[in-house]
Order: sequence, then C-alpha cells, then structure tokens
Amino acid sequence: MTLRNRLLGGALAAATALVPYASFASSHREAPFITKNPKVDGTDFYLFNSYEGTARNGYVTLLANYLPLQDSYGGPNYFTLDPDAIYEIHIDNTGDGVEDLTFQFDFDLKLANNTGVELPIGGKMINIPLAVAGSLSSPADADQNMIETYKVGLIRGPRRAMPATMLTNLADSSTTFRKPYDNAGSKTIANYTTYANQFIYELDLPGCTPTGVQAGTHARLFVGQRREGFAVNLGQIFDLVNFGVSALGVAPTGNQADLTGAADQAKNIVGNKNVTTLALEVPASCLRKDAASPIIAGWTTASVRQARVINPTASFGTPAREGGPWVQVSRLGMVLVNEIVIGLKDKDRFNGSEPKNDAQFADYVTNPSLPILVEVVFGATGALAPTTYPRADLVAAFLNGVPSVNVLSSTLFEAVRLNTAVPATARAAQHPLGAATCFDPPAANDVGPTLNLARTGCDPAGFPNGRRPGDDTVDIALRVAMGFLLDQNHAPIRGAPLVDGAYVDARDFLVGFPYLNTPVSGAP
Amino acid sequence: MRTLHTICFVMALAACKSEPNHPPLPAPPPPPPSPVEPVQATTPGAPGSQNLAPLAGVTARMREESSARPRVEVTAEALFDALADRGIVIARRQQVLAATAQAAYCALGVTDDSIAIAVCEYESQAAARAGKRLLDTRYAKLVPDAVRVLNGNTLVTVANATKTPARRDQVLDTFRSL
Repeated sequence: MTLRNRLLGGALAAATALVPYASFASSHREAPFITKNPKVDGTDFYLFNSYEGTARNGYVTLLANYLPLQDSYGGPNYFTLDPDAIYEIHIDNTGDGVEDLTFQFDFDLKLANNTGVELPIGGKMINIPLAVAGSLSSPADADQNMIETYKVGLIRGPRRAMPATMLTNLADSSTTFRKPYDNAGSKTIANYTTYANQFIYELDLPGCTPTGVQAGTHARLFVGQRREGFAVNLGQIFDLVNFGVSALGVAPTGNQADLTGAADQAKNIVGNKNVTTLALEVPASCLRKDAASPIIAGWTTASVRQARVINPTASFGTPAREGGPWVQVSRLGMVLVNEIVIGLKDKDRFNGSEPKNDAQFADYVTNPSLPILVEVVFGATGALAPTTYPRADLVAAFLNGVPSVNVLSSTLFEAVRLNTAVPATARAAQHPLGAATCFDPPAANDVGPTLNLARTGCDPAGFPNGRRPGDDTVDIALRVAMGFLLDQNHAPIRGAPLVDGAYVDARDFLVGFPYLNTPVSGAP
Repeated sequence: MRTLHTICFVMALAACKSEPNHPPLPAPPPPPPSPVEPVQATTPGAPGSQNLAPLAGVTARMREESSARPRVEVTAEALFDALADRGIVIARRQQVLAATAQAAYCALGVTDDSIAIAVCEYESQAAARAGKRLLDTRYAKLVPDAVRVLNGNTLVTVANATKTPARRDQVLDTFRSL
C-alpha cells in the first residue's frame, strides 16, 4: 500500500468516523471513550481579550464548555456537572507546554437540607422526586431541592504538584459558589437572564496585584448553562463543504451557491442545544509571566479518579466510591483538533495527554488527512489538496502561533495562543474570519500571503490569535487546511473562500461577560 | 495464583449485588506513588486512522459510483493511458466523488507537474453538458483556472495549469482526439 493510498484511506476513515456525528460539533463526543462520560466532555474553549467596553480593558476572558448537546427539556435532573471530577483551565505563559496557572473547578451536589424537600402526604413526610419544588428567582431559593455548588482553586505551577489557593467571593468572603439551576422553563424561572446574572461573582486572584485594569474592577466568575455557541454544519462540510450541490442526497439549504461570506448563513445545527460553561474573566497581567511577555497559551481539561466502584445500594451522595489518582479524560485547546485532525485510534490518547507531549501527534498536523478528503469530494472540479509535506504552515498555525502575532516559544504544542497586548476589537467591528483577514494576497505564485496588521479590515484580535465566540473557526480552519498560508504552487485552491454554511458573528452573542447566550428554555 | 485471586475478586464483587446484607463499600484504592504515566507513543505510521471499516457516507457513495459506470466512448483509463503514450506522466490517479459533478463516475489524475485532470463520465451527452454547466458556474471560484471540454458523454477538467498552458492544451487535444 502506497503512502498516498494510506493517506486516502485515513481520510476516508476519518470521514466515516465523522458521518455518525454529522449533527455534532467542535469537540462534542469526539473520542470513543468520552462518549461514555458526557459530564466531563469538554466541547469548546475560548480565550480572548475582553471586549465588553473600556471598563473591562485589560481583562482576558476564558470560557470552557462541557456536557454537550443538552436538550433544554432534559428534566427532571437536567445537567449537573460531575461532583467526582475536576474541571480545569490551564495557562502556560512560558511556552514549555506545561501549565503555569490552573483554575481548578470542583463541584458538589447536595439535597436541600441534606435530605431534600419533603411534603406531607397522607400523614407522612415524603421526599419529592423533582429537583425543584417551586419557581426560582434567587441563588438561595428554598424551593431548590438539588443544589449544585463549586469551589475554584488557583494552582501556580504543575497542577498535581502544587497546592491550590481558593478563590473567594468578594461579596461574602465565601469560597463556595452556587451554580444556577438550568433553564427548565418559564414557570420554573420566569426571567432566566436576570436569574443567571445573580450567579456572576466578583473576586480577586490570590497572589496577584493586577495592572492595566480600571481601578475598582475585579475578576469575574460564572458557571452555568449557556446556549451552544459553536456554529458548524459538519454534515454539510462533508456534503461538499456547502458548495450548494447535493452530493450525498441532502439538498442544499439557503443561498450557498456562491462562495461569498454572505452565503455562509445556512443553518447552525447545534444552535438549539445548551452546554455548561465555566467562565472566568481575569486581569491579563495576572496571567502573563511578566509585563514584557504578553503571549499566553490556554486549554481546558477534565479529570476523574482512576477507579470507580459502583455502590450496589446507591444513595444520593454515594452512588459510587471513587479513588486513586486523577486521570485526565478530556482535553481541549484549538477548535476541531481532536474532531477532525487526530486519528480515531489516538483520540482517547489525545484526551489524556498533556501539551508538553504533543510531539507524539505531530504527524496528524504535518500530514493531515482532511485536505485529502476534501480533494476526494471536490476532485471532480479539478480541485487539488496542498502538495507539500510536511505542512509547516499548519505547524505554525496550530502548534506554534502566527509569527509576529502570538508565537509564545519555539516549543510545539497544541493550545489556544493569545497575545494579550493586541487590543480587543469592539463587538460590532469584529470579523468572523478573525486574524485571517490580516494577510495580503501573495504577490506571486511561489510566495505565500504576507501578514499585514495594517491591512484595512484586519481583525488581529480574533482566531487564531485567541478565540472569540464570534470567530468562524470552521471556515478559517477549512481554508488554512486547504493551504491558505501556502503559495499557489503548493496549494492550488489556497484562495478558495471555503465555507461550511453555518454563519457565526459576534453580534449573535451577549455584549459582555459571560458572552455566551442565555440557554434555550425547556418550556415556553 | 494471580488469576485465581482475580477470579475470586471478581466473584466477590458480583456477590455484592445479591448479598442481602450489603457489606460496606470497599475503600477506594490507595493512590499509587505517582500518576499513571501515559503509554509511550509508538512510532506513528501513516496519519489518520487505519480503521477502514465500516466505510460509509462518501466511501459508500463512491463504491456505488464505481460499480455502476456508464458506457462511454472515452473512459478515464483510456485518457490516462493515451496521455502516458504521449509522455505526460500521471503521477497519481484515484476515483473521486462523481456526485459533485452530477456525474456517474469520476477519476482524478495528477501529472508530475501537479496539473489536475478530472475525468467524469455521464449517462448521456445531455447530462454531460449539464454537468459542465454546473461545474463552470457553481465551482468557478473554487478552481478559477479550470478548463473543461466535452467529448461524447465524457467531461474533462484541466486545472492548475496556468503556468503550463502548452501542457494543458496537449491534454485537451489528446482528449479530443480519442
């Protein structure tokens, strides 16, 4: 079997792997093992300079989404996180692929008054079967039968070797935060936006005196249900990348016949789902190594105990007993990496891996299968995949950062890299194609595009310089995969404005923290 | 002995479920001295999964297309062979999705100087003409330098040949001559 055939086989197998998940998204259910553990399935990670307004200049927002594809009507238990897991957001500010700061979220689930709400039924007090006993309007509502709380520890240095310092709510000096009840419906929670906003907490990061932020402002924290913010139509990516023709029996939707950006407005198949978001907004100065080192790299992970013994006489508090060291089961940095870059046989390994060990996955980036798949699908048009290997352009884009924008070090590892010194672009001025708009076309066939931060319309504060909710990362990734950063000689369709058909725009999201939208309601 | 111990342990666990007086939960296993080290990566082979089964979606569609090729005067193989006779080396060739061009079957050949030669076979001349119109319009921005020529029920697209127009013309002339 030739290498080419093996590549093709890999690409087709990747397509096969994707087909059953055609209605899923960024990193949702992307690896075989994580499908068994939805509560710790990380789906998206956003890292960007806050663009809420001048009062939040100097802050960086970190959003980690978990528990994908929540149907809003999913009662009576809805979507609590795993109290036996830890969820973490990591920041590397030295460029070695090892976390320098970790925000560690630890959840707890309790019944009201430890026994649950009871009602007098025929002379007996009976425990009710529902998670709420009435409508909710505030964090301490007595009608909430199942109460989810969490603590957040800040670890400086390696996450398993250094102690955590607990974050403290400035309002009450507590280290325990409450998570809002999910958006069950308008009778349970009449105004979910108002209700959820009460769960945004202010705090200061221990061990950091921030600089570059407005006096009197503080870091913010929120954990709760949000509307899915990732826009993709993977089914149509492989149904001709939305070129408007029916290849696999699915009729094109919307105006996809041309390739202009305006055509990328068909449908977002995950837009009616909810996720659970871990949101932090912290001073950039507290994330950087020092004032002269503005670039940081971030990713999120979830870990569970290595051993689980099911309790044969399960109780609310102890359905199982867990022990042993923490074992990482989910990892997410750059969008779509484990979904369409890493081979099926290595997806679970990737989820358990650390960035410092990413050399083991390098072949998936240097010799990617996705472009070959696109060539198979579009080969009838004369379209060719890039012909140069190894793909140094992809290494730069996904493993090292864009030169002059967000290269943190020479070490190659997969993470979202953000230059915190690049001013945030106001919400209304953001371009869905982010920093990909900052390249001048090649001057000749044998040279690639030139980075030009002064280019009219350039939006350097967007993906792949960090990632904002309104960045159309699928379109950008498709174009980069097909050779946008290469010269024409090595990437014959490098200039094709590929779109996946799911439109995304910053204006579709909230104006400020936590940016992702109010979740879809379970009932009108 | 170890196996026996394992069996006993598993049986003991199983017995827990039917035991009327449930014993207390076993204590969590003690943490090992250091976290489990990831398995060392083996030398990676070809990128992408090697698991080719079950092939579905694109592959299934292509299999159908391959098994129901129409009768045409100029097949993809005939063109590639004729080009080889004229000294145009096809460095690689593969079946590609014909549905993209609303064709019955398509193959893509790539010359040693990276000229793309897509050959699509149709059920009829009318279908081939419709396919050409589709490709010329819908995919104009995808492959702007594509040149397409019909010969009977077969449509040929030559692309990525802007720098080698003579070579492109040689391919098209060969196709017309068949």
